[in-house]
Amino acid sequence: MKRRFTAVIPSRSIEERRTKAFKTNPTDTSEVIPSDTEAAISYVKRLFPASLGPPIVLQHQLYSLLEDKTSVDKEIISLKDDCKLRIIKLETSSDDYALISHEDYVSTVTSSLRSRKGEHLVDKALEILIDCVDVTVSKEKLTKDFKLTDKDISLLVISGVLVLKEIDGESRVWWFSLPGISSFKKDFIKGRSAILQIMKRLKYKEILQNDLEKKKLSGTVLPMEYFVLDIIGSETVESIDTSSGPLLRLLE
Amino acid sequence: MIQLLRDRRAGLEEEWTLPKVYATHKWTQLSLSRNREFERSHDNGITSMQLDHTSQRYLLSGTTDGSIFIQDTRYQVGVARQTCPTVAFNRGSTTPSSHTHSISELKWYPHDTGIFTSSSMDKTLRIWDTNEMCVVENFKMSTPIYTHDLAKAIKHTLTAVGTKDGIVTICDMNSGSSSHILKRHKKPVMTVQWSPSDEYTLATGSQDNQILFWDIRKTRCPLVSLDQHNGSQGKNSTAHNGYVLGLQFTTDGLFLISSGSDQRLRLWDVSSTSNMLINYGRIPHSFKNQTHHFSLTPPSLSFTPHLLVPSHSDVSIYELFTGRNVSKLKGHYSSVTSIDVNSNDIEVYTGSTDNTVLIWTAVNSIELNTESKLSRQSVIYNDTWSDED
Repeated sequence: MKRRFTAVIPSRSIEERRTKAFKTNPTDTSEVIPSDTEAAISYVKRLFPASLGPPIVLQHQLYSLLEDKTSVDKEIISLKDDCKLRIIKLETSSDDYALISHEDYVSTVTSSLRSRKGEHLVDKALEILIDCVDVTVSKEKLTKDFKLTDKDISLLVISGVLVLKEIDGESRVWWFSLPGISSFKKDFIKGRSAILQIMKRLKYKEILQNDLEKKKLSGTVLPMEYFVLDIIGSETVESIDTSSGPLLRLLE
Repeated sequence: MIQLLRDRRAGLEEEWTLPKVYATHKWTQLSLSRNREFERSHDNGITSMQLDHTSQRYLLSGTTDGSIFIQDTRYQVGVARQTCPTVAFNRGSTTPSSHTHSISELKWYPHDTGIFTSSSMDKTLRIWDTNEMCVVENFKMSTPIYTHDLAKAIKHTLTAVGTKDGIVTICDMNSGSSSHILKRHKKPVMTVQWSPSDEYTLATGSQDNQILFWDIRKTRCPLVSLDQHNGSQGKNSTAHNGYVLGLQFTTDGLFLISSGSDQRLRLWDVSSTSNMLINYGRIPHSFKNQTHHFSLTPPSLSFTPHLLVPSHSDVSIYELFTGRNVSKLKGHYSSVTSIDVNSNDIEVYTGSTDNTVLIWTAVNSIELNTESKLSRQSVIYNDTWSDED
């Protein structure tokens, strides 16, 4: 039996992506009115403090704002294919994916490359970013399709655009990363463990969301609500509606 | 509902629409049955359960001490409080033919209730004669068996057995010997499923995070390994970020549902072998070295298929194609291990490590009405005479 290998959501052609990425048409209404997912992303973005660089939204945070997880996923994939969003894998946990807008990502990458004397790589990097919208990229693709030398790749690694994922014989797979994401990661890990510590110390491991949001988190500049969305979305806590607002209960 | 009735009368709707919509609505209203229960004969936690395919009547259940029970779920007309009796059983370690270790999987022969098969951690797969309650064939493996599945096919009588050493053995019931092995998984095989639409296709899931599709006529290598990222993340394809613990085909064989120790469910399109990317959320469970059994609602009784997934001591019900959580069944005191759906009636049976099998039905006004009518009848026909008079 012969099987076809096709993705469920057809990925767009590169030409289409290029035109979509560079063309902004103010009369096109579909671009003006944001979808639910885009609105949720911009809501979480507003919570993000400016001191930590470009705003980062975690994919599962959106699940706590919107009910239908499947449609959120599908919309994120189509945004990714349209070069509006970048998805970056965080090593904090196996299910953590960070979303960042394409323009923010491109400007961070450009400035990071410029500061490390990688002026000649900027154009190529932008080309790669439009062509490879996925979380990973293989070495074959970088060297064959984009004709990067090992030196260029190591410059990309030093400037924080690529992170080595796995070595399988000769072929290597790289994860895309955001230059300077480590300060966010450090802050985020501290904050997440702090909020879980608060939940664990409670007598019945449950608290009203309003009461939790009044508490202070130590060691992080990210706001409390950012972490509340995080723990609800990742289903570490369960949200139960009560007459005095949602109640959060820690799941085992 | 009334709108639908009117449409049906006017001929605006197909005739199957109304019963299906009604049945679908009932799946969201499942609760513990008020007037039916199983006879309490299990002394140990239940590990596996199956209702027979042909008559939807006999429930086969196995426990951790190797005992096997068959219970009759027939609806007794006119009895207000019903107990489903145990009609046959075989206690573990009592006779030479009984299992000595925990039962890992029980399966009825798909075409009649005369035969059933049991596999156990004591490394044996046994074929039983239901009427005599004795073993007629014994397959010995070299390592503990985690799972097995009988082909629903007509052309062959093969059984696929998944064992701890990562090998899938194909046993033939006709000849009483194993015909060949499928070797690719690096870690214990936790689940095997025959495709209901293509009798030579087998899906296997293992602790090496992979789901493989096999054509059993070509055993050298699997047809395809399912990839959760649809090929966008490197070469090594994994289906889950943890062990694959459960597999289930939809009845038409077009989709495959898998469950993993990463506490996720995934829906796969079988024809293109791609991830449908439906997000069911996190389904907390503590299975690690045990097959995660879950069940689908029968297509004849539901408008959209629903998934019934054990999650700790509860059972969560999800819409298959949207991933929306519809409801939760709470009733067991400890982890639910097995589940089956009666497709003649809207009835769900769940087995748990708290030694009980519970019956879930949709609460409907009709059932309550018959109960009250019965009690009224019993008042009317009650014998008021006393022997002493």
